[in-house]
Parts: sequence; structure tokens; C-alpha cells
Amino acid sequence: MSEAIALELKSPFEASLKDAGAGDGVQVSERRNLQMATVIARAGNSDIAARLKSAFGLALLPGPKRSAANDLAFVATGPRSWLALSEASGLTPKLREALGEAAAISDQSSGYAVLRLTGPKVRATLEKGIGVDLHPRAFQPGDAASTSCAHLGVIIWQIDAAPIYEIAVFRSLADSFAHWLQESAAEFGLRVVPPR
Amino acid sequence: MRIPCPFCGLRDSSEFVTIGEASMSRPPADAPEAQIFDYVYLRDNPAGVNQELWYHAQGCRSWLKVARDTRTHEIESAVLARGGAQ
Ligand SMILES: [Zn+2]
Repeated sequence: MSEAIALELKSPFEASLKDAGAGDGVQVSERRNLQMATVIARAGNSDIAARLKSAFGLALLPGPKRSAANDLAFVATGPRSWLALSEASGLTPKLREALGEAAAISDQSSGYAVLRLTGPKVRATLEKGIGVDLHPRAFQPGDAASTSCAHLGVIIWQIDAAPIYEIAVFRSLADSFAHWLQESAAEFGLRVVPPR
Repeated sequence: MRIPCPFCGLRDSSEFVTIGEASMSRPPADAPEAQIFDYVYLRDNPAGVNQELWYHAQGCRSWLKVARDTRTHEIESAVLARGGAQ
């Protein structure tokens, strides 16, 4: 006898991410309802780009870039690995069908959490924890980096020149990251805006 | 010191882990003890350019082969120890 358990989506940031300081220097929102999966090319396999093109119309860019088509984004995390993100359901089965034996796919929808950050002081805040040069001459929309922020592993990518960045952290590190963000953005003012 | 990862670009050395010389290759299990001893313990430790293996742990998680001058930390080249998929 088993009863179906209704799984409820819980935000790892809901309790910990709060406004900080005075002002409106940085705005942060959580991207909820994101499906995520890591995609790692199997040894010797090189037709992932062709398969993504034919299945999703996604043109996979070489190097540390974010490639996107419609609702699907591939953020390169290494020479043979990507974090795939989509708001549509069923991401992992769709990727398995499209990529077949070309890649190992692991669902990460409950592994990572993603924040969207913007505001006039967003770069001044991120510079306090991230060693990668985020100045526009070095990092622009479409660029991505796997790095660390205050010793926490993060994947960061830029989606707009405004600038707008998105950062993926492991959900279990969400409290620590939220604490770092509040402390670092407090002098400019941190505003939590509703999730999108 | 910054290391020019061929995938990620210039990154601080704190993102990497090194296991030392890249020229070592593991002898077969039945190799003479002297050869195993040499593999485990003895290093050339040159004053000059040394081929080293560095792992980009806080980045793209690739193993790199890095040619580093042990006197100046100047890096001549850094390449993926194994080729990428693209
Ligand atoms: Zn790297």
C-alpha cells in the first residue's frame, strides 16, 4: 500500500535572502520553476552540436559561452560539459531523446538554484567575491564562467548588457551565498524582487 | 600567479590544484623496485621551465599541462591534457 506523495517546490532562498542596506544598488530575484541538467559529452563523441541543432534549433557556441534557442539554454562549464536550463517541463527526457548515447545527462533541477542579479552596483558587488574580470571589455552578454565566489562554487553568465547576470549555486549552499550577497551588497542597497 | 586555462582564460592559481611534474608515467606493476621508487619519490625539480599537471578544480574541471618557469612563475604554455569535445 503506497500513497502518492505530492512534491512541493521549495525555494532554498525564501528564508535566507532578504533586503539589505539602504538604496537600490542591486536587485536580485530567484529564477524558480527552472529545470536543469548537466550534460557531459561521452569520450570520443563530437556530434552533440549537430544533435542540438536538429532537435532544438540550438546553435552551440564553442568556449565558455551561453547558447540559447527559444526556452532552452546551454551554459558551457568545461570543454566537454554544459549546464542545460529550461522553464519547460521534461528537460531531462527531452535531452536524453535528442542526445542519446552522445552524452551523460544528470537532472539537477533540485541540485542548483539560480539567481538573477542586476542594478547599477551589481558588478561592484560581484567583484568582492568573484576573481573573474566582469568588466565589459572582458565579459559580455553570452559569456559564462565556472569559478568560485567567496569560496563557493558558482556558474555565472551574463544575459544583458544592462548588466544582468545569472548565477547558479548548489542549493545546499544557498544560505551561505545569500549571506555573502547581503553583506557585500549592503553598502549599495540590496532589493529582493519577486521571483520570475 | 595566474594560469591561462585554454578553456576559461586567465584564472588565479587558487582555483587550481597541482600534482607536480607532467613527465611522470606510472611503471608497470611488475617493474623493479628502483623504478617504482623513482616514480613515487624522485623529481628533477629543475631551475627553469618545468612541465606540470594542474587541475582546474574551481573552474572547468580540466587537467592542464602547464609549462612553468620555477624561478619566475612565468607560464610559457598551458594546454588541455586531453582534447576537448568541440
Ligand atoms: Zn579551466
